[in-house]
Amino acid sequence: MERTVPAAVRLTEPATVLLTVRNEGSRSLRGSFRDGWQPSAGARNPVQRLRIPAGEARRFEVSLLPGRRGELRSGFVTVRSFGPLGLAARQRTLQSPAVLRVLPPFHAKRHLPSKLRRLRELDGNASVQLRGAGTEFDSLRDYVRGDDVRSIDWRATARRRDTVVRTWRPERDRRVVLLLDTSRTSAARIADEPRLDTGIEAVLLLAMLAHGGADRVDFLAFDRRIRARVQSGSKGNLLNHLVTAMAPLEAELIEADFTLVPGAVRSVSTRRSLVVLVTALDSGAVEEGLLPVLPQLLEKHVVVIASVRDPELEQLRRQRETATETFRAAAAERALLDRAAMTAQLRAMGAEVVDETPHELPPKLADLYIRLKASGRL
Amino acid sequence: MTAGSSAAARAAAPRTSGLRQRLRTWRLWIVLSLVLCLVVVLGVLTGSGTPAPALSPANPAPDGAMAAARILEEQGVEVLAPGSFDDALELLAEKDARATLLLVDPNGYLNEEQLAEFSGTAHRTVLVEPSFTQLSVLAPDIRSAGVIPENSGGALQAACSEADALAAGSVDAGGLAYRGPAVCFPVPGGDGTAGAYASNNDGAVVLGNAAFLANGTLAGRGNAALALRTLGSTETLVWYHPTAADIPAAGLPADPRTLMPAWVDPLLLWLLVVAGLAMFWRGRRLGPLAAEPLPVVVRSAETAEGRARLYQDAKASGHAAETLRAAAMTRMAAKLRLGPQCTADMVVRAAAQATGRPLDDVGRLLNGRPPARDAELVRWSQDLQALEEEVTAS
Repeated sequence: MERTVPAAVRLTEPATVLLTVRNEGSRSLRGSFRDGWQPSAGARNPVQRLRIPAGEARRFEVSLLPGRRGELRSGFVTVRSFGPLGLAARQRTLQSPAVLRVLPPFHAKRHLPSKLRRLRELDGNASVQLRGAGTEFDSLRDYVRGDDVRSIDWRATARRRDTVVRTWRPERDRRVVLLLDTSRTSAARIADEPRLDTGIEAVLLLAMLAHGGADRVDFLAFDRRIRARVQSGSKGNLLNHLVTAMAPLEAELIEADFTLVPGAVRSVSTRRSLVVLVTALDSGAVEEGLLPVLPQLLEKHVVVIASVRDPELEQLRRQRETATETFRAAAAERALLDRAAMTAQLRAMGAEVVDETPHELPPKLADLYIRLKASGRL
Repeated sequence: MTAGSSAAARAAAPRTSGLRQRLRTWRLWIVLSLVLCLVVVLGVLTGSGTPAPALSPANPAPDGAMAAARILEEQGVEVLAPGSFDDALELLAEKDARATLLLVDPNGYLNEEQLAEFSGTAHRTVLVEPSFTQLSVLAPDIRSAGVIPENSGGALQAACSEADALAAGSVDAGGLAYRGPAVCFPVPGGDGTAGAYASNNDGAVVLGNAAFLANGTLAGRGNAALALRTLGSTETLVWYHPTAADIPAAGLPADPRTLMPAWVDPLLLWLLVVAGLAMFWRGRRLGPLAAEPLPVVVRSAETAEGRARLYQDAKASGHAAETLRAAAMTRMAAKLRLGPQCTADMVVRAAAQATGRPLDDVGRLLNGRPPARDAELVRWSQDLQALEEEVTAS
């Protein structure tokens, strides 16, 4: 028995697994089989009839429609062989482990073209920009009328006969370090999606954008240890590397160890870089974990803290019909106030904070990146 | 070319092997259907070989008695052949004890009670080679007396005063001998008290030899005379051949379940249930269950709701009001562009200005005494919300 499983499939896209069953006995095999995919693999025809003459093999197609991101498994194939009258049957469960890696859907991809266009516009603007923060030397070219006289490179002009100006472009090859928190706070479901999945979407969008902006992107997923890592130096398609690394990530029910973060960032880049930390701004976790290590990061890097805000709190805040609802509104207000206080504190320390609802987070984070890039703070 | 021909050969090979394959898969069914056909054919053949029992009035075979029945009918005797015990009794009752009953029961299907019902129903009762039971019920004074050797001279002489026997003169030897009040055709060499024909005064006649009636031997010697005279003495002859179908009516237990103890029925029911359970138990799933590693599901607003319940259980309406007020004032301050350093009084003044409400009202709402009871809290918080919406709208 052999199985051919596609290497990876994006969530919500169908996959077809080919299963080859070979009859090595001397009698023809008549019966049925079941491919033991876990339920969320969404196998539409796991049980099929089979009829294989002696010594021959047949190939069957099992179509899957995965319902969950991650690594979906099938541990076995059970074959039931009927007797000549169809009254009695024998069955055997054959171990045949198979894994289908279901990649995150990357719905935020639709934001990518517009954001990339804005990045390019920035690029185009900057080529005639004056030297300043966030730009670097691009090239020398001949002076044309209308160029700023201040950008004339006199040394080069002296070497050559013609007047030469320097051109500038936005900084390139900046380092972007994306950190994804997979601790207990990322398990919370917001708008029917775990915080982790929203974070994955945001990270993917930002990574593709930064990649388009010619920056070097590193990705790390961590809770108490590093769960996944994608190096900027690795060859091949970055998106492919990212989604493959992210596919098996699950929220762990443990507290994140933020003391890992400075070391991890240092191991990735010793230069000044943009550190994007996708986590949750829940007061307890952040106060005790993140705040102590944040100054260390801020010394060297630009830190962006991205968090998913729960739109349900806003709804709870507005419902004040009964005493219970009023108390709930008060509790929601308290949570929002705490968040606001936390955001203010983080901003006061010098970090950038993006706190948005699940749908808004990826584009907002991308906007922040573009803004930072435009203002040369990378 | 070579490749094409080999491809054709490959295409042809599976076709023939497919036919053989199909034959092999259907082999069992073919054999089974052949066996079934054979059984049916054999059944039909053997069934047509024995259409009626010996001495049946409808049997033209040598051991049948169709000839005697036809002759009697031609002589004006009504020959009736009832199919069952009940029919026989009914016919005899109709004739009001003026008919002749011929009872041929070599297998002894009828038991004593059934035989006893025949006594007195017929003018004459003729028994052919009767058993001990038949004799003891219908002719108690006639007894069995052994076998008459068939080769003992070939013929038996009447040697008695019975008119029927005298008319016959001599009959074929063979069959059984009986003793009784009147005995004819005595066994040669015996003491003359046992013979092939016996009768008593109640009208019971015993014929010791089926050959007297059988088609094959009816014409021999005085067989026909004896048989026809014995059977044709009345206008009606009831020719009764008990069959196996008469046995249940003969007082055998009709329902085998009545023989069983009372606990059999519940036991059977219980066995049925157990069998069903055993099917579920032994009926196997197609392979083991596939486990789904489920992710953790945490509702995000859970902590807020928990806190709300804590507020409510502690009746902390003052605390709740404080939170609501702080949040509302923060938002209003931001909306009214008062900056982060503003005081509560500044917010009140700005809000009153923006909404056009009296300063006192707004001040009471924002800076007044916090509500003590739940109902007050609800009303106050709604007022606060209304104010905030006005400020937002302005």
